[in-house]
Amino acid sequence: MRKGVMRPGHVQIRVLDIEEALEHYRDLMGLIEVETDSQGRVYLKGWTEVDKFSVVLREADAPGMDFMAFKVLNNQILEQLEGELIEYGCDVEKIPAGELSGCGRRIRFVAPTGHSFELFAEKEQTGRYGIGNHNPEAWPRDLKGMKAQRFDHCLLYGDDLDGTYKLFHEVLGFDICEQVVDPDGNRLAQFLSVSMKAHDVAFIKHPEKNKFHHASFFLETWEDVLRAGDLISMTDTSIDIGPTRHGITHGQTIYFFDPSGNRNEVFCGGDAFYPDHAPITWDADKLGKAIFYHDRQLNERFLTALT
Amino acid sequence: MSITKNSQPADPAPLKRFRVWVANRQQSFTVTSDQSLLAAMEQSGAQAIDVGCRCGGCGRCRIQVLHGQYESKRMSRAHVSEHDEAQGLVLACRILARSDLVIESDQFQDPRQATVEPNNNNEECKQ
Ligand SMILES: [Fe+2]
Repeated sequence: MRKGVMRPGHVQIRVLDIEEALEHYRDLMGLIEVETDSQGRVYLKGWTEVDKFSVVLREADAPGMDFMAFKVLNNQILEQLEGELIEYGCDVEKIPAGELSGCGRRIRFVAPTGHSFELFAEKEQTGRYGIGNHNPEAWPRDLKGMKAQRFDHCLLYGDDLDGTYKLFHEVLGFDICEQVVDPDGNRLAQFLSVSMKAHDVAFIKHPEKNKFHHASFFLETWEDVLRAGDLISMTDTSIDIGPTRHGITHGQTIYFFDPSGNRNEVFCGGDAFYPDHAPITWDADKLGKAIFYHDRQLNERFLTALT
Repeated sequence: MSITKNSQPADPAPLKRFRVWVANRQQSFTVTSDQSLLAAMEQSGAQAIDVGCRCGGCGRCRIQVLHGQYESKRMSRAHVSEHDEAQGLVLACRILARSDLVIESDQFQDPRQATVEPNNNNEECKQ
């Protein structure tokens, strides 16, 4: 049952060098640079996003993800979910409005896979970049690089998939859209949706907690994904795999790395999901095809190159 | 062994070429002074070091430098502690050779092969 969680709101990513990271996320991926806060964190967004920012970069001595946040419908829902998280057994940390510039108060909790998640209800709405809301043109003419449209989802690695699913399903109203299950019935991968998208967050089973696999950004067409591949070669950016297609979600994709080794994805397509859809199940021995539909096997990197 | 932290090659001196011997895999390749060890290995077609993110983050290309001089760029502290770095345990994607090198690859600690400590993190949501 949907509980008023709307969509991924932001992700804070640790990078080894903020200038190099900015060149990557702004000039190559085409995110819009929004601001640098007093702590030196850099805020960006995809041009179609109405909220002020969706990506925060923080310089640190180890890359990875600090937290991922979801936006909820309103403050009443935020309070309601805060109570339910506490009742469920979560330590809920309250983060005051303005700690992220332009963002209202946030609540933070740690999921059983070890990842920090946040909920918030309010963020300054600066509107879609360059075109606005009134008689808008099709797209702004000054976009750079891959012209990434929006921050779409994260794929995270961790141990307690069942615990995280239970929390996300029962308290936050996410559904399993697709899953990979081994012969003993253990879930090895779960793709969770809180919207009509094929996934808003996904998890893959892994012995360590709190590992980051990728942050993903939406492009409009397969041609755009191919062009992203061209740009990756032109800039000598570290490629992982693609352009190819995922079996899971059917999205068309390319994976590459930011200058600190955090994996990024840009993709297009992907199935539509409604809450009455039964989960789509892949057998563990089809995992290769489920992830990379054309290669039909995982590269070692997919399972081990994490931050 | 000399280690300069977080430094770019200092002078625009002409490129030098060095030989890298990967002892545990009995392979060698050539590196120029402006490219990372890992980039040189990939370019040579050798398969002497595992390739991950190539950007100092994931730890897949962790090596032990046995002999020789190099400079290094910032690497993830999750994979290379200050102590490791002082011992020559570094990421091949973030070091630049300053002499011929002898190294040992396969120093990545694969969490799938490790015994995982029971987790006592009581921050996590528990029912
Ligand atoms: Fe993805």
